[in-house]
Amino acid sequence: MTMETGPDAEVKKAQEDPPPQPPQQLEASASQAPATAAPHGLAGHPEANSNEKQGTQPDPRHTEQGLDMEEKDYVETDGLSDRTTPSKTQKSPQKIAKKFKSAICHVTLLDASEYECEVEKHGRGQVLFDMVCEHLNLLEKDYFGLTFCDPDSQKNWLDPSKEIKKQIRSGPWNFAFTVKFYPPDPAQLTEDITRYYLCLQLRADIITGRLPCSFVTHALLGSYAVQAELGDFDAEEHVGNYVSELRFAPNQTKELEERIMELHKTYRGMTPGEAEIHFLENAKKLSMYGVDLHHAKDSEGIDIMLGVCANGLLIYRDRLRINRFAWPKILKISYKRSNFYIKIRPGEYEQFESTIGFKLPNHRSAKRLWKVCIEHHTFFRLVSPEPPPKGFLVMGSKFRYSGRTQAQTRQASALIDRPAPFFERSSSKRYTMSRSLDGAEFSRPASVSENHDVGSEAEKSEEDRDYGGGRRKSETEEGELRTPTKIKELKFLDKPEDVLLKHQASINELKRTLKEPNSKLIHRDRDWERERRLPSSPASSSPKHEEGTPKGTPEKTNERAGLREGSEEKVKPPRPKAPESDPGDEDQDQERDSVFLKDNHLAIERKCSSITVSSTSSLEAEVDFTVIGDYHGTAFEDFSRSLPELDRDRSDSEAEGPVFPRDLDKAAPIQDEESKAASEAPERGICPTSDMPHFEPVKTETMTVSSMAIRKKIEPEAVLQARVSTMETAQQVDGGTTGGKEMITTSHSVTMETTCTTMENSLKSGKGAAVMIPGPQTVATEIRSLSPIIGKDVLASAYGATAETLSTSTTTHVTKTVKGGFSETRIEKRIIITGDEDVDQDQALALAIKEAKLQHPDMLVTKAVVYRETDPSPEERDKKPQES
Amino acid sequence: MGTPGEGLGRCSHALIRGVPESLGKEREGVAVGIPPLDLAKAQREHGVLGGKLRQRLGLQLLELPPEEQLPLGPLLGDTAVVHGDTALITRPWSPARRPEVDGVRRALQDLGLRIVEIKDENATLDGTDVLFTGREFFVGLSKWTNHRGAEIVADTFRDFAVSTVPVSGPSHLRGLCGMGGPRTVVAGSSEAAQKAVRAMAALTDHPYASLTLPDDAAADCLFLRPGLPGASPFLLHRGGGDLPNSQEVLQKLPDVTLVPVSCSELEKAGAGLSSLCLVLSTRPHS
Repeated sequence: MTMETGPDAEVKKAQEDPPPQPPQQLEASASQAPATAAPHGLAGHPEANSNEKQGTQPDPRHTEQGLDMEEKDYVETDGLSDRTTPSKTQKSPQKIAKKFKSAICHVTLLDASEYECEVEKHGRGQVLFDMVCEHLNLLEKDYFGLTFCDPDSQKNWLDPSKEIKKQIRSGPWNFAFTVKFYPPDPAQLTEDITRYYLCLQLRADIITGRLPCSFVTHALLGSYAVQAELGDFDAEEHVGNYVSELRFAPNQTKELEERIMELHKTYRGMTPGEAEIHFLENAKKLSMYGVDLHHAKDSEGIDIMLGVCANGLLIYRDRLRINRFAWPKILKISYKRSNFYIKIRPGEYEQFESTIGFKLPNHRSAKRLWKVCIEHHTFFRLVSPEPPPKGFLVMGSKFRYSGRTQAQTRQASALIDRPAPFFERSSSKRYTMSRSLDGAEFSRPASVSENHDVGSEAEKSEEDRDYGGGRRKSETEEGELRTPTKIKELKFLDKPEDVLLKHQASINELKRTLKEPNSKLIHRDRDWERERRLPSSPASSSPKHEEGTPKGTPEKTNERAGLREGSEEKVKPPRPKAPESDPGDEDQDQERDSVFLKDNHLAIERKCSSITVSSTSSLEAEVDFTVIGDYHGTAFEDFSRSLPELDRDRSDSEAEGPVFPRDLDKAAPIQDEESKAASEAPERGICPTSDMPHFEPVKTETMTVSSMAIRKKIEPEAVLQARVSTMETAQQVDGGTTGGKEMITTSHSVTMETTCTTMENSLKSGKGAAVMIPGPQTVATEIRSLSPIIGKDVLASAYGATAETLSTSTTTHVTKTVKGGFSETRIEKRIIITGDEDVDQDQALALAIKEAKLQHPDMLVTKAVVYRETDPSPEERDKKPQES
Repeated sequence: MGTPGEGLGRCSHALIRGVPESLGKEREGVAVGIPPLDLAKAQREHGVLGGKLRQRLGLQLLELPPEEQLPLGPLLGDTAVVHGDTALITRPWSPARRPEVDGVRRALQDLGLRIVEIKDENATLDGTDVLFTGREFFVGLSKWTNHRGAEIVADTFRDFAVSTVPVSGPSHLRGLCGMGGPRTVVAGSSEAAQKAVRAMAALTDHPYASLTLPDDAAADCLFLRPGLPGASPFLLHRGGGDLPNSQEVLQKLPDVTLVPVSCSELEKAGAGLSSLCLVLSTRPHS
């Protein structure tokens, strides 16, 4: 590879940087001092390791943790280290490792060379990753990651926040350094060296067929790769088929090579860096760029692929895209056993959220997919990572993406101040080892190249191994030079003066995002969506607006700014706990993983109270997915206020409005037939559209402050209930009832009742979903409404109830099951009636059932379960929330 | 690959095929069920179309001779999907129409295009079920085109996302929607058309505007950029004689020169502008 292990002196210098820091930082890092040195001390140089072994610093454990911490620190921006550090320090003494034991790691780099290093046996993934990045001289490392193969030889991401040993288990300490998040706009990367590694990854993706492209594109990309690697065409040096020793395509033909040489001749004067930018500009347009594919089956047992990418989730059948769920469309991602679920925000013509299930080969693959989704969502869509759930009784996995988001990494890399590092682009040499050439000096049996041409998966992996092998040799052979550059870790984010800098950077970022083509997306979205937007629903318009802004678009940028000013505390405090909560993760995963967790709800609830919540569904969305970046309403308002440009942009397009007036007019009338038609169409279960258009849309009345209070407490309960219904397991019901107690807010009594309504009707597509899941979760449509109707006004006038103070809240859960030729829709309503003791609960109950019947005239009431809670003691009330 | 959307409509040649007398006759086989049409009028319309392509748009026009045993031969848009240097020769749904591809294949080959064939016996693909937006392909899964056919489109044009769009009713996808500009989808107002557009909106990663026209047939238009890059683009569309209601809305499309043509008689045989001509560029990458 490009780097040598020489310049330890340089590294040391960098280490010495932190100490002379402003007092604030000093205070924060007092206990961190050893930790600060850690990344370098542990850096992957043999020397560094021997340092460790000599035991100058007695507590490697501590060091390692500190390192981990530190990583977190600059993720979290300024001013927090003083909080996080102490907790760490407390923690580490208990964990003092007995002895320093190290393990040898083999990391296959992007140019197929192998890097070997030693890490502490109980070191976390981050330690190794940092070593590799240092070896590679890479600063913009958040786009990259390490993978390892599990016993099923499936590729897994090494979680930086967990011990390596626990992740690879008994497997060998072999890893591969790869791109994890493909930047949608590589031109925005700060350093050429980052782009170089991205190019290497893409070239490998192309050769293995993971990134398919046409002949023309193979030729174009190949020619840029040649220019980057060989430089200008030189008639003397480049004779004959001089590119044939490079690999450009899974099936490389003479014709392709000729075309590449032809193009190469025209690039005279283009620097390698420029050639790589051209390469990336073309590669990023390919439809499979950055799409991480996972095999799965849909509800009918048909083989499909789920592709996770920057913008969301893509569903492929064979090579065809058959569905797409942008992140904003997705409310929740979860998995249970080998099933993977996404809950979808209702479309313009649907009233209900729907849950779509996919069957993965096994539990591990479902979890893997789930993790990748969480990570991609966080990286590309959020401004900052959401905190991992804390507490003991967390349902499901505590896994969260803890690295920097794209927004953060861009911000951080804007501050990189080092001269462009020198590096040698040496990738091509590996090909010489694996590819046979017509008459070249590296001769290999011709069959090898034939194999390449056939290109089956197995052969490809073999081919990869070949590269590895070949490269390993060349690595040791070549003594390569690295220009020593000052490695300035980005911890200076913590310095006060950098706060200002960073602020400036974020402003710049804001400006840049405004200029970048992405901002058009907003525009686009309006165009597409305008005709579908219902003018009467302000709440639906803001999420929609949001929908078309997948990556670091202006809104988001602004939210980031907003976050920094106001609500940091909300996001940050849990962080320090993250590492401790790791153990047990695996076990809990067995239960059920889901993205929403109680703590988050509460945090979000807090936030909600300052927002005008105009529709339940939008609130629900926030609660469930805890998408910090998704506070459409406020975020957008802020944004339009602070950024007149966008506003103008917006009004421009509004002015364009009359261009498509029909679209607007048409929208509403079509709605009903549309949803019917949609349900008639054989959608193969992938796109369940509600077939119950007669449902009344759920409305939330404007809430008074007091109802807000009620609501706050109700929310976690409701979520719990929802989980109950989805899982349909008995034990969860308990949780539900206990939850019920905690909601008692007003005072004396609570009545809860559940009405199950069942309806059967035959479905045309009707092949049956039994293949996929035995249970009823195949296609689940779910609505949940929380509409506290305040006081007697509503209830009394409508139904003649005599309550003095009475409030009801209804939770509706719709499950649609497709079994054989029948589709069964099961609606579960949970109605919570809260009121004074003298409320006639029976009457209220009767009314509620009646109302439910009225709402769904063609449904059958099959079950009504009533729980009654009376007069819980205040202490109990206070305790409950923690328990449940 | 060029700038996204730039590839849309770039063309130097147009290919059409003459109207055989058999199209006007009492028919059996293929054309059963098509109401008798006025042959003379159909031929006149076809002639005018050719004239517009040549004179108004400045394209090199190649006209294949009519063949009596192929009454629907003029609908050659069903027989090939052309993009860039590649022509995918289709396998039309109607077995009787499959011989139509031969003449078209020959002509495209002569123009120097890379020919891709569908060998899979289970695939059916009508060319007018394919919409290229400049950035991606949509393939209508209609009465005429099946999943396998769509898959071959994806295999052939690998640089692009190829998404499937369910098409209900008797139409082809191109009979419901088309491109009014590099970033504008035009669609009819029928339920089928609107549904298709919504499906496309959900499937795409790209920004498009949409324009709804009163008539579905009006959405079957061709956005063409003959000549040098930068030259003003044209929109070949059904004129006021055919579809008076849609004209006003079409005026709203920015930056295109509208070129109206009529094909109301040929329409009776199921023809639309996208099926009556194939446009292509022999210098796709210059």
